[in-house]
Amino acid sequence: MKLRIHTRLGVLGLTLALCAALGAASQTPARDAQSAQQPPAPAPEANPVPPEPAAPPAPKPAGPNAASVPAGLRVIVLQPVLRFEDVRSDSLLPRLAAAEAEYANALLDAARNATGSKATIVETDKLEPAGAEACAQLRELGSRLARGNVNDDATAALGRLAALDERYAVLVQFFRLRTGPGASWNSWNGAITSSMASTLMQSALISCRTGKVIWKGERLVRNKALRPAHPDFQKALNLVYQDFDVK
Amino acid sequence: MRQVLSYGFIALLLTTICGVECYAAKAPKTPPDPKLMAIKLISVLPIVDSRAGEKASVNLEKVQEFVMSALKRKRFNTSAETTMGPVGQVVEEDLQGAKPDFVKKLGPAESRWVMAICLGDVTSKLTYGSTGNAELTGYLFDKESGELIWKAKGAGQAGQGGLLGMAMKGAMKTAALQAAGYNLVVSLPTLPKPGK
Repeated sequence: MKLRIHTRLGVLGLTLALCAALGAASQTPARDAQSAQQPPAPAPEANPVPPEPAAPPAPKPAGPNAASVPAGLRVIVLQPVLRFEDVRSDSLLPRLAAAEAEYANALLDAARNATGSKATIVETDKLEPAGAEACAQLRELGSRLARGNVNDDATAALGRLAALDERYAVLVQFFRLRTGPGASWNSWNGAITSSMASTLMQSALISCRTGKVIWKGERLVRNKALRPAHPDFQKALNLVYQDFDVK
Repeated sequence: MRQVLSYGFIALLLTTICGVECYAAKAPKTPPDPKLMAIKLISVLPIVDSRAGEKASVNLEKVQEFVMSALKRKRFNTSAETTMGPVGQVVEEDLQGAKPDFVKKLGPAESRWVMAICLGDVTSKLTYGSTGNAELTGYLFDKESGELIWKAKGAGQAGQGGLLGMAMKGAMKTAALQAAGYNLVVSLPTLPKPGK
């Protein structure tokens, strides 16, 4: 009887071991393929590698591109261009994109606060149809304009705004939030990785008359996908506009 | 009776596992895109630096080499280009919504398939060891049709903990870029061996 029980236990143990081995063999390539192609889960909160401290702000003034500014500058603050993406694919991040309005409001508030004391703000909804159309076109080019890259299409749209009022300037904002593989520690071989999440804020003030960049600011926070309520978000935003000037 | 039942259960379990395995192994793969299988030679354009924020020094030619070596593993013939061609200076947005007229001016006039690679970010840092991260985006255009036939992103992470890892900080950017280059081309099919 004892022998029979032992035999049965042995067979069961062997079966379980076989199951485990087959399971591991079938899962490994699938997991590899998934990590290469599937959109990843949001970066984990538990972070064995401490996030990189925010880098010092990049030099701001537009330098040789700085345009001569007509007196009484009127700044059109465009609706910010927001992008929520995964670092490994083009998949969008619906969970973060749901907070789009919150991000947009925070960015607009920061832009208005910075601009308000130095120039007159013009609301886009109060522009003439031709102006509103030009603004919509400029917003489509937001990701390049916000880092001060003005192409021919943008120059044409800026020209149409300048035709309405030479004192117009546009403030373009671009915000990109990326998530990706999080920080990790492999206890077997001691390998560590840092989170690939990042938060980018870029802003540029461009003269409609000359098409030149009057001012630009930028802030990249690595290893963190910041939410608007996070204290570092506001800190980073303040640093973007810390030396905002219209001259 | 009990013994028969237990052996029966084990046999059923084994049959189920084997059945699932066989099904998984025989699951039909999506056939590779014929547009990609027809590629004869890819002209790899100089790397477009799309980085934001503080830019760490990086050898862009080395990045081009990493991508080319990853492409060679997939049996693609490649050639390294030193200029972007008649289009001149290019930024990533130009590639994202590239129109046929623009595509046809990319790279050398005689090349048909051109690959543009944008460096999104590369960084290394010292922690309880050191780590490196890199991001690349690749665009493959068919100049004959003027269309984008493949686009992918490649993220690379590298790192080592402890004192040994701290000493290796200088190598982390390179290791991350190499991993990013490899991951970038993962979605491209592997071409058959020549003569097959």
